[in-house]
Amino acid sequence: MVNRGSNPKSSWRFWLTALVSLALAMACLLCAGRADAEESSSEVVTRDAHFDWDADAGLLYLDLSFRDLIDATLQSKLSRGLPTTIVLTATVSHAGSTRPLSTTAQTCKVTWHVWEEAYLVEVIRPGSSRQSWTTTTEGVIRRCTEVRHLLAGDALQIPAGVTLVAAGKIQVNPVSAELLQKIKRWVMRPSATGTAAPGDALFSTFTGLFLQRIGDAERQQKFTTRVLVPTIIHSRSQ
Amino acid sequence: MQRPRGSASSRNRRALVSSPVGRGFELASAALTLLLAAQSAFAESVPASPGPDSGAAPAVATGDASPAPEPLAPEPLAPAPGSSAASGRDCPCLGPELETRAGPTPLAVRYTLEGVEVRGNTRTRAHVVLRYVPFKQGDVFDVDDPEVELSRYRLLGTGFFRDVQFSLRKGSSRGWVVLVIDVVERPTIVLNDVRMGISADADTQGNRRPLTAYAGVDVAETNLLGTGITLGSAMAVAQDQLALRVRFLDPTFLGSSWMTSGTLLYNDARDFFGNAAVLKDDPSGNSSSESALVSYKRFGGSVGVGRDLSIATQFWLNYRLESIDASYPLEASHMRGFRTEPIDFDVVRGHSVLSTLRATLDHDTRDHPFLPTRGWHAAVTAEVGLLPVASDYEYQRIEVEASHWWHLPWHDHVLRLELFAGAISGDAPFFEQYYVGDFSDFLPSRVLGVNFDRRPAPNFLNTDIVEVRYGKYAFKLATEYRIPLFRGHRSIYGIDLFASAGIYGVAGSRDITSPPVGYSGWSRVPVDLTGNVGFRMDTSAGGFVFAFSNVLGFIPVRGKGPAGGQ
Repeated sequence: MVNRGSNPKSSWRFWLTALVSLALAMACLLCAGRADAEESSSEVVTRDAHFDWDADAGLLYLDLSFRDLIDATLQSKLSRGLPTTIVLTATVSHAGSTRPLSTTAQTCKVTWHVWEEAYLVEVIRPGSSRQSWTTTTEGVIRRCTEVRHLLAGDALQIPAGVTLVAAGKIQVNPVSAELLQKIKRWVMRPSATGTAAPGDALFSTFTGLFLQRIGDAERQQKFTTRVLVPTIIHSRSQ
Repeated sequence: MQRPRGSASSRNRRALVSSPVGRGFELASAALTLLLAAQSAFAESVPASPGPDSGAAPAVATGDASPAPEPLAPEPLAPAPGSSAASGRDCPCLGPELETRAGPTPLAVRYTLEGVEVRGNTRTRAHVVLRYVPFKQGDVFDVDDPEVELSRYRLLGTGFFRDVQFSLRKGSSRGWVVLVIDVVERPTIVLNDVRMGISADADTQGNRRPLTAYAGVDVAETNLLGTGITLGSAMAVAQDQLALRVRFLDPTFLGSSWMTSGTLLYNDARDFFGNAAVLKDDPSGNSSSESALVSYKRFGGSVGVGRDLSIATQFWLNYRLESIDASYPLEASHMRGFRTEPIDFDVVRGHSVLSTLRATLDHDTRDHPFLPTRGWHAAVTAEVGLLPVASDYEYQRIEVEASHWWHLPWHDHVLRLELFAGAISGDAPFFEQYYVGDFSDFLPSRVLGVNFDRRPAPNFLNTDIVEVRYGKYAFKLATEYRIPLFRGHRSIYGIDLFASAGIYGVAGSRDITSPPVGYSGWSRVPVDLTGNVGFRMDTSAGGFVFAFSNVLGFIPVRGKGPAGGQ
């Protein structure tokens, strides 16, 4: 075998360098863990909700509000003249189970008409669409964030008389997978300004730090609800 | 009446909503798209049963676009031109909470663009911002055009801005608007690369000495004086070695689609030759040591032009001119296998000139620059030494490299397959040849062209790879497996654990025509295994790799060849 490290001084330096490298790596991982903790703490929020079970039609409806998501920054964006889309998607599951029984969604698209000085609000739900005009931000927020009577399942999917929980996410200006791919390809800059040969380790071309920031949406919040027992209603009697 | 230009999506939308059937189809497809896009993991979907709002007649009509400066306002609800609604919120036609239940009739909101205004840019010039925005004065502007959002991300992708927001404001007459681009600039000095490691080198007499450290750093200003030009500098230092480089890149030369680049380099470096039992004859007399040193200085640069051939393909042409000043022993020999042979230093003693022309075709479909999960990255490079233009080195080089990434169906794991093959013919200087450390992860690779380590390859396969330091032929076939550990959107975007393994070979002409004495059969094929394990971290400051092969490389593995070299 090759006799390496016979010099005690070199061995000492080697292990010191290795120790420092390991410490640096651990510090980075700890920072990462901290960042992870920061993000996970704001990832899933518990929201108040309400289920109605229409016993006559065999349909489950969900009421949910997320007014707080539309903060001052988002409110100012509403009147920029370009569409703002707020999408709610949710699954309904048995309490204590992660297997979804049904899903539902609502899309709210808000467009400020610059010359009319009014908002056009288009709300799309399973099986329905509604368009309305309002001149106030409050009107927009009410239409988009106070979800009332959203169809969330039917008798074939939801057993009667069970406790349920809803979970999902709210996205502001979600980016489609196609557009996301287009953006990423555009942002990517091949590192071909140097040589293709090995040995030129530095000067790997900077390819755009913001690429990683392009997520699925401009803003996103995951939520869950408490365990709920649907309130029985009778649509025919009403 | 002439129809204005509209986006493909808006044209398709008009066709879809031309009948009630089309409207229903669009509603269903829109709902389905949203459901699928938002939660692909969801198991079942809600049946499209009639909702409480369905069946109502559309109260909002979609009109044909017209070239007149008039937005396509909903006729029954829109205030008449010139009414008070145009100037205030007390619209007589629209109550603050007026609501209609409607079918899925989309409104194509279009204006005529009066101009584009850039705000918030203190350093970046407005024309640099406008390069990335395809809208011009007089265009019909569709607020639903996907190009709007794409342009925003283009601007974010430059790295010049922390935030970019588009908005519209009224133009000088009804129906005309001004597109306002608000930008928030960010520091554009970026850290491209940091390298640190330990190496085993030799002193000025060629004798082995304790482990030493080396380091390299590369920083760049990506928006020089607000012009969008990148100016970068890099430095690598080790004991008695120094490398400096300055790089320039203009992604849009004189506003054209051509890119230009330039590089200046300075190396004051040395390299270590000889496998074992090195005898040398230098001005101080005959001596023996463990290495014969070449001390050399390189100074020069390159200029290049490039062009995007497609969204994923670039072509570059570079001319390089360098002045080289090298000194090394008058004569030197070493043990190659069991035979003593002269050392060929592959560089002209004293002053020489290197002049080359290089063409590179690069194809990149990766979905991410640092932690790709799918796609290709392939490059073909051809280089020729320009002997008629006062070059002392006549050689030709051809290289092919390709990597492919697969996103595996379990837990977002990623598999990469990498292939490299290169060949040089002629008299290339040693620093242009293939170095084993660039292929074996267990040796430090060259940084800015500088070699820090005197050791041979580990030799897991017990071949004559330990006799090879530089070669004119090289290949590598490797695979890498990555496991995502963390994904974030703040300072750290991602951390992956990776492990790689591969096989490589480096050979000179002499290793093929006259293999070293003492090897037989397959051991005369200079190949070896390589591998690495560590973490890849993608952060807001750049990408970092914490790998352990550099340390593992100090564990002796069959370190002796027949000549007893190490």
